[in-house]
Amino acid sequence: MTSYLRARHVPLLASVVLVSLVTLALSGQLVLTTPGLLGGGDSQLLLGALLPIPIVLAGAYGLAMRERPVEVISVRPVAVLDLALLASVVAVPSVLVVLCGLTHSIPPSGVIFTRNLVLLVGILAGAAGLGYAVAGGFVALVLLVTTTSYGPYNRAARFVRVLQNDASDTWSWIVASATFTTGMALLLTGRSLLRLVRPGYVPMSTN
Amino acid sequence: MRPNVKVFWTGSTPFLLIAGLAVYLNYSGVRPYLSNYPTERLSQGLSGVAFTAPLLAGFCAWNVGRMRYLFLMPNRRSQLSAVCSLLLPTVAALIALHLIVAVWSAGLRLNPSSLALCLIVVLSLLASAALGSSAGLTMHPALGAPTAILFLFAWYALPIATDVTWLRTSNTSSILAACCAPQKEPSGAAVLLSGVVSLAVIVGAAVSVILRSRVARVVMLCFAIALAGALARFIGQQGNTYDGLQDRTTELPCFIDDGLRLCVWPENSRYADGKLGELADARDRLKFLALQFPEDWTESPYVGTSAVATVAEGANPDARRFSIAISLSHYWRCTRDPTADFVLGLTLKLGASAKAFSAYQSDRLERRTQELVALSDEDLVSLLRSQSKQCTNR
Repeated sequence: MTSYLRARHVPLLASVVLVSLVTLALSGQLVLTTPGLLGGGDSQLLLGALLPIPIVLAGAYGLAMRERPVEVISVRPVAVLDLALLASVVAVPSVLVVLCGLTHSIPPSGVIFTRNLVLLVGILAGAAGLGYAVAGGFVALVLLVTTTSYGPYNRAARFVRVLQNDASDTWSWIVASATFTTGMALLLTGRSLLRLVRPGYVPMSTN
Repeated sequence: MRPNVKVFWTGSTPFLLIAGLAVYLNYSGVRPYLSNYPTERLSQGLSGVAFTAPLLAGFCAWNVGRMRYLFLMPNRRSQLSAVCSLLLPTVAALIALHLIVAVWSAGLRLNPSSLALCLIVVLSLLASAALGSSAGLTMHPALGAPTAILFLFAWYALPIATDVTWLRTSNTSSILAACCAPQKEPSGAAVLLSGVVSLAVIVGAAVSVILRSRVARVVMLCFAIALAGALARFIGQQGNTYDGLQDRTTELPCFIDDGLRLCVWPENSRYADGKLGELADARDRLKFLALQFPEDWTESPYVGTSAVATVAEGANPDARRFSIAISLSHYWRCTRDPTADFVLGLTLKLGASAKAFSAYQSDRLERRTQELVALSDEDLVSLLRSQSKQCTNR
């Protein structure tokens, strides 16, 4: 178990989660103005919405570091352990945010932080399940840049700006939870699926 | 060096499709609201670089990060050559895409200022590709591409919505995005600065690729970025405005008719005759005022003694009369409030209908106009005469 935790760089991941949470607590409702590059005007973005990004990058770094050949022949249920790791990456900050809300009221930045964490970890889990953990952070950043650039007054902006919508927006929560569920399912079954699609597939390389 | 055609088609196609769609959306969204001013159209056509540059950096970092075989190559030169053969077709295609949109937006313009704008866009795309490749070589594949995207987005896109002078004038996209009202143009200093910063980044990234050790690469890359930032900060404070624009220096061609002289921006020359007719009509209708009707009219606000006209294309006749009334009120120094009775009354005397202001959706304006329309012609004339006594430029 220790070797698994070390292989996934869990200490690094844990410290990034900690730093992000501290930053979230300190930043409060700090707002960035982002330009609508693809039309539709500027928008206000809470800093909390961006804080899941370093967590996902650290997670992608850890997941991409696996000793694949060893894992393929080992009896350790790596996929299950990965699932537990990613689930706790989402669960621990979420529980903390909720606990915070018991004493104070939950601030919108905390809710948006949790929602974006669910969505981006879902993307990372899906990418890792398909054997492309390194792509997790890349896809997350492309999503961030694309949805941020799509201005709030554009047509169907609410459906595109899933990372930037208000805390109460139902659509963003649906997308986040669906992505998370799909990602986790892919994490468990992805390698079996790839073996079905590509006979002789052995996940030897990290990308 | 041979371009890697297979990678171009498999890896680049989705990227180029996204970039192409973004550049198209970026320009087509603002197109209906642009004036005839070619520099404005060109800048807005090229301003998609704020979105494509971060994506290009991510694309380069991603592809270079995946080139495991690079470390098996005998020397840096072959590594550089392999990186170029992988990336150059995509970078060239993206540059071509931007230039095509530039021609679509403003037509084929080969004057120095348009070429300079195109050149700084090409340089900034090359700089982002160089930074991305360097990040891909230096960092772990899981971190290189995201870091490159994040950095370039923070540098190219976020400053557009801020007013920090050196940050805005150091990157091409902010200058382009801010450009321009018809009386403004990109300042030479800002254009030069963004070009120099891009060049510094390209050189720094190239040197960092050639260096042997990873630590030296990281140090060199940080140094290049810091140098570019310091340069930007230094030159950015040398008389630059925060948006990198300056007053427009174009010569205005002038038209004379019926005792009136009108100078217009070159792109509005074909509307000058129509405008002169409207001004002559206005002069005849306002003879009852004891104020001297201006004979010199110009579109440039920088010509001291002339009255400033707006030669708007396609505006409805009432809006054009309202515009003339505002110009006259400014020229005579009567009032600067466009909703004052004097301006509304002038607009009505110029022949505007009672519904002239319905588009402005202001209840107060609408109500006051109805009251003025209800006045008899003599009452309106005497009201304007009495109000004109407060005008100081008679």
